[in-house]
Amino acid sequence: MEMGDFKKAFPKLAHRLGDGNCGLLATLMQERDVPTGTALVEGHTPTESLFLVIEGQFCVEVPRPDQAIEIDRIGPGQWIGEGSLFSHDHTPISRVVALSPSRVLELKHAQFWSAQTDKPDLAGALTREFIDHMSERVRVADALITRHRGGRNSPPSDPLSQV
Amino acid sequence: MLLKNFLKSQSLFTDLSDRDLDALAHAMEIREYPDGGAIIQEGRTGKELYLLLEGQVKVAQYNAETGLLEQINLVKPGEIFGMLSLIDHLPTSASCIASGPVKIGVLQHNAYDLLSQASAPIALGFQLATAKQLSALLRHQEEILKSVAPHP
Repeated sequence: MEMGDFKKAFPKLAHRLGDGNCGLLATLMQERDVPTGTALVEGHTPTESLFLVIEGQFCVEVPRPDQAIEIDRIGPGQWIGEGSLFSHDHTPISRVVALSPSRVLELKHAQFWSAQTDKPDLAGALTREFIDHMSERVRVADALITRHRGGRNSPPSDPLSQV
Repeated sequence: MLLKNFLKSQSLFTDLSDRDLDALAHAMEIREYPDGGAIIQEGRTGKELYLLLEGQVKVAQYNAETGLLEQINLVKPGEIFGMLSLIDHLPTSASCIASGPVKIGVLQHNAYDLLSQASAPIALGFQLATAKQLSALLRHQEEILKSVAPHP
Protein backbone atom coordinates (compact mmCIF):
# COMPACT_ATOMS: atom_id res chain seq x y z
CA MET A 1 0.00 0.00 0.00
CA GLU A 2 1.22 3.51 -0.82
CA MET A 3 2.02 5.68 2.18
CA GLY A 4 -0.64 8.25 1.19
CA ASP A 5 -3.32 5.56 1.11
CA PHE A 6 -2.03 4.14 4.40
CA LYS A 7 -2.33 7.54 6.08
CA LYS A 8 -5.86 7.99 4.74
CA ALA A 9 -6.95 4.52 5.83
CA PHE A 10 -5.35 4.67 9.29
CA PRO A 11 -5.05 8.34 10.36
CA LYS A 12 -4.73 7.61 14.09
CA LEU A 13 -2.04 4.98 13.61
CA ALA A 14 -0.23 7.17 11.05
CA HIS A 15 -0.16 10.02 13.55
CA ARG A 16 1.28 7.75 16.21
CA LEU A 17 3.94 6.34 13.88
CA GLY A 18 5.05 9.56 12.19
CA ASP A 19 5.87 9.81 8.47
CA GLY A 20 9.11 7.81 8.55
CA ASN A 21 7.72 4.81 10.39
CA CYS A 22 4.46 5.02 8.49
CA GLY A 23 6.29 4.66 5.18
CA LEU A 24 8.34 1.74 6.53
CA LEU A 25 5.29 -0.10 7.83
CA ALA A 26 3.35 0.46 4.60
CA THR A 27 6.15 -1.21 2.64
CA LEU A 28 6.47 -4.13 5.10
CA MET A 29 2.78 -5.09 5.08
CA GLN A 30 1.11 -7.10 2.33
CA GLU A 31 -2.48 -6.49 1.26
CA ARG A 32 -4.83 -9.50 1.32
CA ASP A 33 -8.44 -10.09 0.36
CA VAL A 34 -10.44 -12.13 2.86
CA PRO A 35 -13.72 -13.71 1.65
CA THR A 36 -16.71 -13.90 3.98
CA GLY A 37 -16.52 -16.84 6.37
CA THR A 38 -12.72 -17.16 6.22
CA ALA A 39 -11.01 -17.71 9.56
CA LEU A 40 -8.05 -15.35 9.52
CA VAL A 41 -6.92 -16.68 12.88
CA GLU A 42 -7.86 -20.18 14.02
CA GLY A 43 -8.09 -21.02 17.74
CA HIS A 44 -5.31 -23.24 19.11
CA THR A 45 -3.44 -23.15 15.78
CA PRO A 46 -0.04 -21.41 15.69
CA THR A 47 -0.04 -18.31 13.53
CA GLU A 48 2.83 -16.44 11.87
CA SER A 49 1.13 -13.15 11.09
CA LEU A 50 -0.98 -10.35 12.47
CA PHE A 51 -3.38 -8.20 10.50
CA LEU A 52 -4.64 -4.64 10.24
CA VAL A 53 -8.19 -4.34 8.90
CA ILE A 54 -8.60 -2.02 5.91
CA GLU A 55 -12.25 -2.79 5.28
CA GLY A 56 -14.87 -5.31 6.34
CA GLN A 57 -15.85 -6.74 9.69
CA PHE A 58 -14.62 -9.69 11.72
CA CYS A 59 -16.05 -11.65 14.62
CA VAL A 60 -13.78 -12.74 17.47
CA GLU A 61 -15.04 -15.93 19.07
CA VAL A 62 -13.79 -18.40 21.62
CA PRO A 63 -14.39 -21.93 20.31
CA ARG A 64 -16.27 -24.35 22.54
CA PRO A 65 -17.47 -27.87 21.67
CA ASP A 66 -21.17 -26.96 21.88
CA GLN A 67 -21.18 -23.35 20.67
CA ALA A 68 -18.58 -20.63 20.06
CA ILE A 69 -18.80 -17.55 22.28
CA GLU A 70 -18.60 -14.23 20.47
CA ILE A 71 -16.42 -11.86 22.44
CA ASP A 72 -15.84 -8.92 20.11
CA ARG A 73 -16.23 -7.42 16.64
CA ILE A 74 -13.26 -5.96 14.80
CA GLY A 75 -13.47 -3.41 12.01
CA PRO A 76 -11.35 -1.01 9.96
CA GLY A 77 -8.28 0.39 11.72
CA GLN A 78 -8.16 -2.43 14.28
CA TRP A 79 -5.59 -5.19 14.66
CA ILE A 80 -6.14 -8.94 14.61
CA GLY A 81 -3.73 -11.44 16.15
CA GLU A 82 -1.48 -9.16 18.17
CA GLY A 83 -2.07 -11.26 21.31
CA SER A 84 -0.45 -14.29 19.67
CA LEU A 85 2.56 -12.21 18.69
CA PHE A 86 3.47 -11.91 22.37
CA SER A 87 2.42 -15.35 23.58
CA HIS A 88 5.14 -17.94 24.11
CA ASP A 89 3.73 -20.40 21.54
CA HIS A 90 2.15 -17.92 19.06
CA THR A 91 -1.07 -19.85 19.45
CA PRO A 92 -4.32 -17.90 19.82
CA ILE A 93 -7.24 -19.20 21.85
CA SER A 94 -9.83 -17.24 19.91
CA ARG A 95 -10.90 -17.61 16.31
CA VAL A 96 -11.35 -14.57 14.06
CA VAL A 97 -13.77 -14.94 11.14
CA ALA A 98 -14.66 -12.48 8.35
CA LEU A 99 -18.32 -11.48 8.49
CA SER A 100 -18.15 -9.70 5.12
CA PRO A 101 -15.79 -9.52 2.15
CA SER A 102 -12.79 -7.87 3.76
CA ARG A 103 -9.34 -6.51 3.04
CA VAL A 104 -6.44 -6.55 5.50
CA LEU A 105 -2.76 -5.73 5.66
CA GLU A 106 -0.62 -8.62 6.85
CA LEU A 107 2.54 -8.26 8.94
CA LYS A 108 4.63 -11.37 9.58
CA HIS A 109 5.70 -11.95 13.18
CA ALA A 110 9.27 -12.32 11.89
CA GLN A 111 9.14 -8.82 10.39
CA PHE A 112 8.05 -7.36 13.71
CA TRP A 113 10.82 -9.13 15.62
CA SER A 114 13.43 -8.10 13.03
CA ALA A 115 12.27 -4.51 13.44
CA GLN A 116 13.24 -4.71 17.13
CA THR A 117 16.86 -4.47 16.03
CA ASP A 118 16.63 -3.02 12.50
CA LYS A 119 13.92 -0.41 13.06
CA PRO A 120 13.56 0.11 16.82
CA ASP A 121 11.51 3.32 16.48
CA LEU A 122 8.91 1.51 14.39
CA ALA A 123 8.96 -1.56 16.66
CA GLY A 124 8.48 0.62 19.74
CA ALA A 125 5.60 2.58 18.25
CA LEU A 126 3.91 -0.65 17.14
CA THR A 127 4.39 -2.25 20.55
CA ARG A 128 2.73 0.74 22.20
CA GLU A 129 -0.12 0.48 19.67
CA PHE A 130 -0.55 -3.23 20.51
CA ILE A 131 -0.47 -2.54 24.25
CA ASP A 132 -3.31 -0.02 23.87
CA HIS A 133 -5.31 -2.40 21.70
CA MET A 134 -4.82 -5.37 24.03
CA SER A 135 -5.78 -3.28 27.07
CA GLU A 136 -9.04 -2.33 25.30
CA ARG A 137 -9.68 -6.02 24.58
CA VAL A 138 -9.01 -6.91 28.22
CA ARG A 139 -11.66 -4.36 29.28
CA VAL A 140 -14.16 -5.75 26.74
CA ALA A 141 -13.55 -9.33 27.88
CA ASP A 142 -13.78 -8.23 31.51
CA ALA A 143 -17.19 -6.64 30.91
CA LEU A 144 -18.38 -9.78 29.15
CA ILE A 145 -17.20 -12.05 31.96
CA THR A 146 -18.98 -9.81 34.46
CA ARG A 147 -22.19 -9.92 32.41
CA HIS A 148 -22.11 -13.72 32.18
CA ARG A 149 -21.53 -13.94 35.91
CA GLY A 150 -24.79 -12.12 36.50
CA GLY A 151 -23.73 -8.50 36.34
CA ARG A 152 -22.05 -6.24 38.78
CA ASN A 153 -22.96 -2.88 40.21
CA SER A 154 -20.29 -0.41 41.22
CA PRO A 155 -18.24 -1.81 44.08
CA PRO A 156 -18.76 -0.23 47.50
CA SER A 157 -16.26 2.47 48.47
CA ASP A 158 -14.27 -0.21 50.26
CA PRO A 159 -14.94 -3.55 48.52
CA LEU A 160 -12.25 -5.22 50.59
CA SER A 161 -14.43 -4.78 53.66
CA GLN A 162 -16.64 -7.45 52.08
CA VAL A 163 -13.90 -10.10 52.38
CA MET B 1 17.72 -11.72 46.88
CA LEU B 2 18.92 -9.10 44.45
CA LEU B 3 16.05 -7.65 42.45
CA LYS B 4 18.19 -7.49 39.33
CA ASN B 5 18.91 -11.23 39.54
CA PHE B 6 15.23 -11.93 39.94
CA LEU B 7 14.39 -9.82 36.86
CA LYS B 8 17.11 -11.56 34.88
CA SER B 9 15.64 -14.98 35.69
CA GLN B 10 12.15 -14.09 34.43
CA SER B 11 11.02 -14.74 30.85
CA LEU B 12 9.12 -11.44 30.74
CA PHE B 13 12.35 -9.46 30.89
CA THR B 14 14.52 -11.34 28.41
CA ASP B 15 14.52 -8.34 26.07
CA LEU B 16 16.28 -6.12 28.62
CA SER B 17 20.07 -5.85 28.70
CA ASP B 18 22.10 -6.20 31.89
CA ARG B 19 22.38 -2.43 32.18
CA ASP B 20 18.65 -1.94 31.62
CA LEU B 21 17.83 -4.54 34.28
CA ASP B 22 20.05 -2.59 36.67
CA ALA B 23 18.17 0.62 35.91
CA LEU B 24 14.78 -1.04 36.25
CA ALA B 25 15.76 -2.66 39.55
CA HIS B 26 16.89 0.73 40.87
CA ALA B 27 13.60 2.34 39.83
CA MET B 28 11.61 -0.23 41.81
CA GLU B 29 10.82 -0.09 45.50
CA ILE B 30 10.47 -3.38 47.34
CA ARG B 31 7.41 -3.67 49.53
CA GLU B 32 6.07 -6.47 51.71
CA TYR B 33 2.42 -7.23 52.50
CA PRO B 34 1.00 -9.57 55.13
CA ASP B 35 -1.61 -12.22 54.32
CA GLY B 36 -4.84 -10.43 53.30
CA GLY B 37 -3.08 -7.13 52.65
CA ALA B 38 -4.79 -5.02 49.95
CA ILE B 39 -2.38 -4.10 47.16
CA ILE B 40 -4.95 -2.80 44.68
CA GLN B 41 -8.52 -1.81 45.49
CA GLU B 42 -11.15 -2.27 42.79
CA GLY B 43 -12.67 0.92 41.42
CA ARG B 44 -9.75 3.20 42.27
CA THR B 45 -7.35 4.71 39.73
CA GLY B 46 -4.07 2.84 39.57
CA LYS B 47 -0.96 4.71 40.63
CA GLU B 48 1.67 1.98 40.59
CA LEU B 49 2.79 -1.08 38.65
CA TYR B 50 3.60 -4.24 40.59
CA LEU B 51 5.95 -7.15 39.99
CA LEU B 52 5.36 -10.12 42.27
CA LEU B 53 8.67 -11.33 43.71
CA GLU B 54 7.56 -13.83 46.35
CA GLY B 55 4.24 -15.37 47.37
CA GLN B 56 0.88 -15.27 45.62
CA VAL B 57 -1.67 -12.53 45.00
CA LYS B 58 -5.40 -13.14 44.58
CA VAL B 59 -7.20 -11.07 41.95
CA ALA B 60 -10.84 -10.65 42.93
CA GLN B 61 -13.92 -8.77 41.81
CA TYR B 62 -16.85 -7.56 43.84
CA ASN B 63 -20.13 -9.28 43.01
CA ALA B 64 -23.14 -7.14 43.84
CA GLU B 65 -25.49 -10.13 43.89
CA THR B 66 -23.59 -12.04 46.53
CA GLY B 67 -21.95 -9.03 48.18
CA LEU B 68 -18.67 -10.92 48.14
CA LEU B 69 -15.33 -10.73 46.41
CA GLU B 70 -14.91 -13.53 43.86
CA GLN B 71 -11.45 -14.69 42.94
CA ILE B 72 -10.82 -14.51 39.19
CA ASN B 73 -7.09 -15.01 38.94
CA LEU B 74 -3.96 -15.80 40.90
CA VAL B 75 -0.76 -13.85 40.27
CA LYS B 76 2.46 -15.85 40.57
CA PRO B 77 6.07 -14.72 41.08
CA GLY B 78 7.52 -13.06 37.97
CA GLU B 79 4.20 -11.68 36.79
CA ILE B 80 3.37 -7.99 36.64
CA PHE B 81 -0.03 -6.65 37.58
CA GLY B 82 -1.83 -3.32 37.96
CA MET B 83 -0.85 -2.13 34.48
CA LEU B 84 -4.31 -1.83 32.93
CA SER B 85 -5.35 1.25 34.87
CA LEU B 86 -1.96 2.85 34.20
CA ILE B 87 -2.41 2.28 30.46
CA ASP B 88 -5.98 3.51 30.01
CA HIS B 89 -6.33 5.69 33.13
CA LEU B 90 -9.65 4.06 33.97
CA PRO B 91 -10.49 2.67 37.43
CA THR B 92 -9.02 -0.70 38.32
CA SER B 93 -11.32 -3.58 37.42
CA ALA B 94 -10.37 -5.86 40.32
CA SER B 95 -8.82 -5.94 43.75
CA CYS B 96 -5.46 -7.60 44.37
CA ILE B 97 -4.97 -9.14 47.79
CA ALA B 98 -1.95 -10.90 49.28
CA SER B 99 -2.55 -14.62 49.70
CA GLY B 100 -0.03 -15.30 52.44
CA PRO B 101 2.91 -12.96 52.99
CA VAL B 102 4.18 -11.44 49.74
CA LYS B 103 7.10 -9.40 48.49
CA ILE B 104 6.52 -7.03 45.57
CA GLY B 105 8.57 -4.72 43.36
CA VAL B 106 6.71 -1.43 42.91
CA LEU B 107 7.16 1.01 40.04
CA GLN B 108 5.60 4.45 40.51
CA HIS B 109 3.33 5.72 37.74
CA ASN B 110 5.69 8.53 36.66
CA ALA B 111 8.46 5.97 36.08
CA TYR B 112 5.94 3.74 34.30
CA ASP B 113 4.84 6.65 32.08
CA LEU B 114 8.44 7.35 31.12
CA LEU B 115 9.10 3.71 30.29
CA SER B 116 5.85 3.22 28.42
CA GLN B 117 6.25 6.23 26.13
CA ALA B 118 9.97 6.52 25.46
CA SER B 119 11.85 4.77 22.65
CA ALA B 120 15.12 4.11 24.48
CA PRO B 121 16.17 0.42 24.54
CA ILE B 122 15.15 0.03 28.19
CA ALA B 123 11.70 1.39 27.35
CA LEU B 124 11.33 -1.00 24.40
CA GLY B 125 12.25 -3.98 26.58
CA PHE B 126 9.84 -2.86 29.26
CA GLN B 127 7.04 -2.35 26.73
CA LEU B 128 7.60 -5.88 25.41
CA ALA B 129 7.29 -7.21 28.97
CA THR B 130 4.01 -5.30 29.37
CA ALA B 131 2.72 -6.63 26.04
CA LYS B 132 3.59 -10.22 26.99
CA GLN B 133 1.76 -9.86 30.31
CA LEU B 134 -1.33 -8.38 28.61
CA SER B 135 -1.30 -11.21 26.08
CA ALA B 136 -1.24 -13.74 28.95
CA LEU B 137 -4.09 -11.89 30.66
CA LEU B 138 -6.19 -12.00 27.48
CA ARG B 139 -5.64 -15.73 27.17
CA HIS B 140 -6.66 -16.22 30.78
CA GLN B 141 -9.86 -14.21 30.20
CA GLU B 142 -10.72 -16.23 27.10
CA GLU B 143 -10.37 -19.42 29.15
CA ILE B 144 -12.67 -17.96 31.82
CA LEU B 145 -15.22 -17.04 29.16
CA LYS B 146 -15.35 -20.66 28.05
CA SER B 147 -16.55 -21.68 31.47
CA VAL B 148 -18.81 -18.75 32.46
CA ALA B 149 -20.69 -18.16 29.17
CA PRO B 150 -24.08 -19.91 29.17
CA HIS B 151 -24.42 -23.11 27.16
CA PRO B 152 -27.16 -23.25 24.48
